[in-house]
Order: sequence, then structure tokens, then C-alpha cells
Amino acid sequence: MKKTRIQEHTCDICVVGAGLAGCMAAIRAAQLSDNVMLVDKSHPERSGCAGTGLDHIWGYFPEVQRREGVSLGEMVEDHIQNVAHGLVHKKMLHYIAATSYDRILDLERFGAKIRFEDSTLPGKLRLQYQMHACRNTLHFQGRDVKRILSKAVRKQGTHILDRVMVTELLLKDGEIAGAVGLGTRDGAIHLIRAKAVVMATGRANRLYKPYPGLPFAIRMPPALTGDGKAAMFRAGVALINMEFLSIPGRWSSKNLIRGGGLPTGSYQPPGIGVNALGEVIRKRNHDVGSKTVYGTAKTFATGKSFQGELQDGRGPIYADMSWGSEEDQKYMLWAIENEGLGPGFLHVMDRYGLDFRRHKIELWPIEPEHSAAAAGGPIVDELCQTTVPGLYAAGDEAGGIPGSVAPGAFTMGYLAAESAAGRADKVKTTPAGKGEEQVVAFCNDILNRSDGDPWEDAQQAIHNIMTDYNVHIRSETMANRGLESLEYLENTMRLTAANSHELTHCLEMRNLIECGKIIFRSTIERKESRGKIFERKDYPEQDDTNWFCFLGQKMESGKITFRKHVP
Amino acid sequence: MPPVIDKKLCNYCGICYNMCPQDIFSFDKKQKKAPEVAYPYECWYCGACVVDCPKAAVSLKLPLPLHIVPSPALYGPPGPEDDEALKRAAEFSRSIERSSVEYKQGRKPRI
Repeated sequence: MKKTRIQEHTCDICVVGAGLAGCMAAIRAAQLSDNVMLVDKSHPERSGCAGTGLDHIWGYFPEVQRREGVSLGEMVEDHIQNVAHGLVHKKMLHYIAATSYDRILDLERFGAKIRFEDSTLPGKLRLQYQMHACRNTLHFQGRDVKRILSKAVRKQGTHILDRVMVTELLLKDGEIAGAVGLGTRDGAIHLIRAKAVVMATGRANRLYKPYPGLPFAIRMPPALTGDGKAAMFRAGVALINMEFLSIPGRWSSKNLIRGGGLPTGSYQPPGIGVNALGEVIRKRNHDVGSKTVYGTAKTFATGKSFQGELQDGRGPIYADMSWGSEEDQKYMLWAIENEGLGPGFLHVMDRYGLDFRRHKIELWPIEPEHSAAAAGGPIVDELCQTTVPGLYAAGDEAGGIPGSVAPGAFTMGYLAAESAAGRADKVKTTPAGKGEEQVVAFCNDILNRSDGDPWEDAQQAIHNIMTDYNVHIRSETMANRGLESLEYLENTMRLTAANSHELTHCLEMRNLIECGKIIFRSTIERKESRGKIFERKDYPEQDDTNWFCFLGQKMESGKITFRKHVP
Repeated sequence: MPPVIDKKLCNYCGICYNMCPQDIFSFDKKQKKAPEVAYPYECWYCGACVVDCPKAAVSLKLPLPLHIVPSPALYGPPGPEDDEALKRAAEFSRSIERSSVEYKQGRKPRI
């Protein structure tokens, strides 16, 4: 009988996930505490949403926004009303907006280039419009932001445990005692005993079927499978907003899906959206004026929408980025090179003989994404504390702060680390917690199975169930069937794995199913519709009297309970 | 095979194997052999291996469903009639300070 090897670690503060939030948390934690461990499923140098770059980050830059007549309070209120539609953790949002600039200055200290000679704004900052009605998004040289942050993490003396996927939490008397992970390369179960844990594993990105048909052809990192949210739920943490989708109706380059950099990003002077007849559907930014990517402002200044053009038989839609001065083109290429999947995009364009002056790029609506950007996840207080003592959440892991994105990651990571350090100071000895039994049994069962289901089959089934019952037609009866289907899958699949890499994927399936079940249960519970992020056929109206709230879901002694939290 | 490693250029440093967020490579430093792509279908085409390779030995090969099908652009470089529009584009998108008159008026959020 094969058995997984168990390896133990002890630290004061364990930070789980080394994206923007986790790296910033690890740096701050190591300033305040001696023994900090940063655990990542991949490698901190290139993991997470900003793995190959982050070119924009919003904040309040007083020297510019005050001169433009926008106060901090007004900017926060703009976000509350127009980005979050009122449903947001207001105190946390205010903290993020007020301290984002401080964290940007930290980035500069760590070595990121944020000032540029061509800017005539104070501080030589390149500031753009993005999701707010003021010029508050810093454009910077962030292709290597994760390498810069990793260097700062190492400089602080933080111990990095890479290629370990945390999938469970250790508890002692209802309080945090550490985390449990699988070594994705060594196959060992890692028990990380800690006085405080900061969770920063981000979004669940592999729930819905990607349209190019390949399971990893998605906008956000496929390595992120909601492991933190699933682990916290199993540990009894209350999760909120899990029923919501994130900005449905996003468009990307067709086939080779990318995020920023196309005209749907806010900062491309040459970019224009055209239909198949060459008619302008989305004007250039300077013709549009201020706008938001979240849709309430004048995203499509022509009054036409990409989707409408497709439906009316004038598709497909293209991004034509061939206009602009040489400087505009250069700026655009610089921006794309520094953002998300941009370096890969430019490399591929070069290799296949494409360029923006000569070719327009076809756009296509991308698959829905789960309520992300710090919208769906554990409810946190003003100190990033979850409902389990000693357990904190930051960045996209946390719930209730939609649109907080990169500034949310940096600021909440910083704050969560301070909270965790305070906790670690108070706890005398590292508690001997429990919580690894189920995952050890799950892994051992898989290792001892000779024939069974490959994880790819489970992934396909999850994609089908989530897309069929959670996206196309959402109602109580459909959600019930979705829940039944996931439970059937969970009880019927007999996963096998040839090695630790495949075993990691098997654990990911377990976490995606956990997240899917939470989504279906909350979908049934929230009896209303709420804009594009939550449309129910059986409750088509928004019901602010009963449902202007965060819907919390948690598991207590095996029983599911719901609670409405006032934002 | 999504990332293609030029075996003549590879110096067996293992950076691509160490960095890959999807962990698609297999590599054994002792063997003095270029990393292999063990899980081609798990590539995210992020380009980390391309930008981090010190020898520029890695390039990405797209599977057919991910190809961008070429389509000619409609506009191309601007002409002399676009001077005013180019100036506005630069002001809007390239952090160029606008006139003081506009600042005095201020921009108010849509609230």
C-alpha cells in the first residue's frame, strides 16, 4: 500500500500564495516577525495574475487628482457607485484607495520603474483613465514586477516554499494552527504549523468552459483553482458573494485570449473597435472621454455594442490598432509588453508575422469568470481577519471589495501581514492543530488506484456542469440540478494519478467541485437578480429590500448555514 | 509542443523549468540536457520562459485552435489631417498636462 510522505514545518506566520498580495504580505510580515514562510503552488517569480506583468495600478495621487478637482472621498464614492454598484466593504475600499500610492512607492523602492520623462504630470507619473472617472491609474514598467517582489521577499529573509499547493487548513479549538499542502513535485504532504495564516491564493479560474476548447486557454492563470476558498470553507470560514460572476461580457483577442492591451483596455491611443463592415463601434479613447471598463460610463460611445453587432449579423468585431503616431504605437507596444499575457502575445505576433500597423485583431467574448477581483471569498473585517481567529485573507482571495484588483492585493496583503504579526506576537507557542486527515486519505486512495478516471475527465465534467447550469440559464431548478451533478461527480469519480503533478490536478478537481457547490447553494439562496453579475430567470428583478447584502455561506459541523451581512 | 527550446542555444540553466507557473517542463540539471515539455496541453502561453531565458533559446508554437487568423487593418498610419486628433490622443492617453483652464473647471466623478 502506497502512502504519502509527510513533511512538517513550523513558522510564526504562513502566507499562502505568492502573487501580488502574498508577496507584499510576506515582505511586511518579515519586517514585523521573525519566522515567516511564503508558500506557492508555482514559483513566486512568475506566479499569479501578474506573473508575466502588471502595467497598471489605480490609486489616489494627490498631486494630480487634487489639481483635477477630485478628492479621495469622491474617488472612493465613484468606485462604490459605479464599479461596485453599492455592494462593497466600504472601509476596506477606503483603506485600499488611501494607501495604494504608499505601496506603489514601496514597489519603486524595490526597483520598479514608475516615472517617465515623457510625462508632464507631477512626479513624472504616467497616469491614465481606467475604471474611475479621473486619471488615477498609474502605467508603469511592470513586466518583471513579480521578479522584483520575489527579490524583496528573499532580502527580508522570508523562507519560500515553492511548488506546494495548500489545500487544507490546520485548526486547534476553532482557531488557526497552520496549513496543509501537497508538494506538486515531491508528492509529500507538507504540514505547515503556524500561529497565523494569511490566505492569498486568488480566484477559481477553471470553473467555466473556455471557448477555444482547450482547458487552459483562459484569460486568468489556470494554475489558480480556488484552493484557498475551498480550504477555508472546509475549515468553517464564512464566504460571501460566491454566487456572482465577474464582469460578464468581457471581450478578448479571439483564440489567443489575453487581458489588457487591446482597445477594451483604457489606455491605447490608437485602438478602435470596428465591425465586419468597417463601421466604428468603439471610438478611440480621446473621442470617448472618461469611461469605465465596467460599463456604466460611455464605453461604447457610438451607442452600439460588440454583442449587438454580432447579433445583428455585422460581426465579427475587430480591434484596429493601426492608427496613431509612431510614439503612440511605441507606447502601446510598451504597455502590452508590461501587462499580463502581453509578452507572450507580442512574441507570438512577431513569430507569426502579425503587426498592429498592418493587421486588425479579431475580438471575441470570453467565457465568464467567477466573481473575482476580491468580490467572492471570505468576509473580512477592517484588519483582513476572516471569521476564524488567526486566519486572514488578502487580494482576490478576500470577498466584498470588487474592482480592488492590484491595489487591493498590495494594500490588503500589507494590512493582513500586520494583523497576522499582531496575532503571532500574542500566541505563545505554535498550536498542534489537526485538519490533514481527509486530504491524506484522498491522496492515498488515488495513489493506490491502478485504473480509474484521469483528472482531465473530471475537469471536462466540471466545465460542462458549471457552464450549463450556472451560466446559460440560472434558476433554482437549474442550480439544484447543477448541485446534484457536482455531488454525483464527486461521489462517482475514481481519480488516478501517475505522479505528483497529476495528483496536484486531482486535488484541484476536489477544490473546483467545492467552489462549484458553494456557488450553486448561494445561487439558490439569493432570490433576486443583480445586474449582469447575477441574472436569475425565476427572480428577474433586483430586490434591494431583501437582498442588498453580502450573502454569507459557511459550514458548521457538516451543516450549511447562510447569513446576510450588511456591507 | 508549445514552448520550443533550441537545443543548440540551451545552456541547461533550468530557469524555464524553475519559473513556469504551469509546471509543464521536466528537467534534471545533472543530465546536461535541455528541458522537455512534459505537459504541452497545460501551457498558458504567458511567455515567462521566453522572456526569462538568458540565451533566447525558447519560442512559443501555437496549437492550431489558438492561432490568430490574419485580417488586414483599415486605418494604418495617420495623415496630415489627423494632427489635431493625434494631439488629443497624446493628451488623453500619454500623461500630458492639459491647459490650466481645464484644471480650474475640474473633473467631477459621475456620482
